[in-house]
Amino acid sequence: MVTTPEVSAVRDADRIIGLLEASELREPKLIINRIRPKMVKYGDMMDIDDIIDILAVDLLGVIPEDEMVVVSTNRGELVILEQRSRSGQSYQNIVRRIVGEDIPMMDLGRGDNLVSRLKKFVGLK
Amino acid sequence: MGEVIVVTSGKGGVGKTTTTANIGAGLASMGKRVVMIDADIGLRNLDVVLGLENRIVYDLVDVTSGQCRTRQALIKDKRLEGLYLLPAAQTKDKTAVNPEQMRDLCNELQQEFDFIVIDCPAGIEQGFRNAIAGAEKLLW
Repeated sequence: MVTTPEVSAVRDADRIIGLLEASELREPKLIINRIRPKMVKYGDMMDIDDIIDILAVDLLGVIPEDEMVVVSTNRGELVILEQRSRSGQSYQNIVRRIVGEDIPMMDLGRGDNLVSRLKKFVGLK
Repeated sequence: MGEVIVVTSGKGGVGKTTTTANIGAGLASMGKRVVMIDADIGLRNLDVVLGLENRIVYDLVDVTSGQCRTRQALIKDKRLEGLYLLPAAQTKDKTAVNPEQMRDLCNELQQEFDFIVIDCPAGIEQGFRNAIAGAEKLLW
């Protein structure tokens, strides 16, 4: 299940999850694509916890917005084969989770307000 | 038995095709045998994203309608060993394939491949129903 942090995409994803359940396909795994950590940080974009709460499915991975995707798509190349691309690294992690490896989530696109920063600072989070 | 992964979203333009291509390539680079199916009949794109558009001879509809054998329609990736694409037809529409044919095709491919990654079209109509038909209980 692929979505982006936009209300229209998340609403469609929610509808699809319902249709999948009706077809006896349970427990879809979620990929959140094109997240912009800075916008999330300033509260201008839905954060990944908001999206997971709405859709109530397990997260498989988060892909950051990355211009490299546009470049490689136009050339018929793949970001996952580019060692230095951030999105490629995120796809690599997703693939390793698919084959059953335990790969921790990168801390992308989690809300980061003063309270959570303070909690991190004193070791509560 | 290979595992079937359907990449779906509902909305268009969120990155299904990019995700399909990268997951397929990632699995193949780990030594898995992978076939990607472009289920977006009439609006194919996975071939371009993979840079394989010039190699298409047969497509998904040719396979399901018996115009060619499955093997003949599979395009081998030029970079990764064990990575194959079954392209969508461009001049037909979603009704050219039915869910039962997709189920049979996935069953056949599961014998030979470790992973079948299906790029689902946007929307909730027949294209979506075709794409999910091959998936049984596992769905990503």
